Amino acid sequence: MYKYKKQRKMKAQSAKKFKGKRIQNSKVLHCVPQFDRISDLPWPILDNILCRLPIQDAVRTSVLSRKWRDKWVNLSKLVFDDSFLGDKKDVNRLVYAVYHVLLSHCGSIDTFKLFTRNRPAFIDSDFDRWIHFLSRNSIKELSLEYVSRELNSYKLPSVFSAHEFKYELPSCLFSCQQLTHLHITNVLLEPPDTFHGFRNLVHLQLDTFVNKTEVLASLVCVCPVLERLVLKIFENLAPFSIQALKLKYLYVAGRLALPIVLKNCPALVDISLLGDELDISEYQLQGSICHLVDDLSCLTNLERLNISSWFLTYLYRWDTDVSELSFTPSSHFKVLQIHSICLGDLYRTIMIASLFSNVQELYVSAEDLEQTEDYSVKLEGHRPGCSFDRLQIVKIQLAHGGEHDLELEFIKFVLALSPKLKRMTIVCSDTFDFKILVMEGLLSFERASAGARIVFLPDDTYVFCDI
Amino acid sequence: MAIMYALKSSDNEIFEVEQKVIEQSETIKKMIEDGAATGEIPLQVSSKTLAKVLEWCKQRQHKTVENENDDNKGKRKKERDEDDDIKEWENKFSDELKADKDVLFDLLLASNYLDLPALLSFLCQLVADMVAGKMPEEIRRMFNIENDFTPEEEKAITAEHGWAFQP
Repeated sequence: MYKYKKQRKMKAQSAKKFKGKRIQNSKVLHCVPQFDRISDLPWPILDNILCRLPIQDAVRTSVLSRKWRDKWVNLSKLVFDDSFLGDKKDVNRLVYAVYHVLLSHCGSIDTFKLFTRNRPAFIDSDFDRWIHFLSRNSIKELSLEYVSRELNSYKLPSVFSAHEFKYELPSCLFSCQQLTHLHITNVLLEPPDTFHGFRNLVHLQLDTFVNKTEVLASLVCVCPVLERLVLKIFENLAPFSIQALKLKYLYVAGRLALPIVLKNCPALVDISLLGDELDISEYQLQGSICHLVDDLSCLTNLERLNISSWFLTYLYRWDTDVSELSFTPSSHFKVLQIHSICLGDLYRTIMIASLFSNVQELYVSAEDLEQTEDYSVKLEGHRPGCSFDRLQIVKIQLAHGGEHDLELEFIKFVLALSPKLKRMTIVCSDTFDFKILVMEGLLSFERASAGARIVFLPDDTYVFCDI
Repeated sequence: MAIMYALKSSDNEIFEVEQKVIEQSETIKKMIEDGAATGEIPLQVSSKTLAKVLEWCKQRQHKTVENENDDNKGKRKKERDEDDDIKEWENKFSDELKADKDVLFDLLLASNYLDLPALLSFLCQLVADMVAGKMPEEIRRMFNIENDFTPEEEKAITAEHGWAFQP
């Protein structure tokens, strides 16, 4: 005991010495508060702070002092990120950490998130146990993700295939009625027969493959307050229907087959349909056009539509007459965003944009893809009998290399047809000669709007805002 | 003409503030709605802290007003500049708080009491950023926390949570 006291005394002395030194040499000292105030903050504030720390930092606070010993065990949010493993990527350590934290934890856990960038080495039984434990702890937000960098873009990851690491969610999860957020990666969805929906689920994100689209559709329609639905599907997705009265935000990426029937989603504000095309027959395609256009007409709150260019073929075939399509966009409609347009499709893009007669912002990115039909003739000779009366902002990302005449023609069209245009941004990362060519064009084209400002960005720092 | 309210700090200083500015505080908003706020609104916050809170609220107020007025999003460049201005202001604000941690803690308690979620989460993030990645000894020094463990106890706790202490 005496030894301990002596040690403390020495420590205190050295601390004093240290302090003295600091006064002379550094400005940092005035940062130190006179009293220890952080330890006595009310728990809700401390919880708020600790939840923002990486979990290992929160656990390390246990050694600060006696007051701190058991603070972290009451954390309301548990977020595990495998970044603390460093380069070694020892997944066993992550698994151990999760067990350790869950076992030590007291009280309710509102949020449990697990991110790992590795191919998950943990076995299904670990997941099962964690989910069992969390479902007994009235979990509200559950997120199990294997984040692959590729997953963040709408292009589909090649590393995943339906035969790899399928995990079937334990049935206890389907009885978690407090769930408001659910985000899971690579799972098999098999709700038990007794499942009657998640009453409080607001946000559902599935980065997965779906064995049966009916399961997905029925899962969505039994979540009465669902507002955000994000589906990143790694395999062919059969046509399906979405029914969700409160759904505002829909993001679907994957190999999709239309129609995705959206008739029973009156609250939809924002739709993103991105991804690759499925091989489908001409017959199916014909039917789909009508479906999607009809559906879009029914969405009276729609503000933003964000699509991959191949959806254009559903919306509008180049030999279709626009006037034949009876389409009334929502009066709130503002933003149309089209990704990876094949140059030959620029004409089609104009026709689509003109369908959305009240569009205010148009974002287009072009890609130099191989084209099978000769559209250039169409684009040159034809000026649609409509104009973009409300269009104010346009951003066009030009393709790198390829047929630039078409792109210039497209820009010319937009400038000539938009009387209210305020700003047009052209992003171009091509050769110097081509940049000059584009700028020459931009100067000479007739503009319907006297106030239009044109911005030429010579690099591709501009990216579409994704999800 | 904007409706003004008088806030009275715990040390009896009066602050005249626009309704829109103070309505960011759920606590004050409720007091006004309940009709409890006739005349001066007494608050359990010191004048020094209250001045700081209002500084934050006014900055936030500018931000929201500008966004409302800007119904067309045409001024992307301008918006970016404004975002930069706000960032710069926030950095200066946080630097001051880091330099005087007593003000930081007063502000934390005040934002909790006044129910200002945006300020509260800003401050909590600030403290979290100060703590993240630091070793216990550094954190103790930063906040003047006294280590009342014996070295043996400390060692035992470190061993218990070994995975979190590994580099």
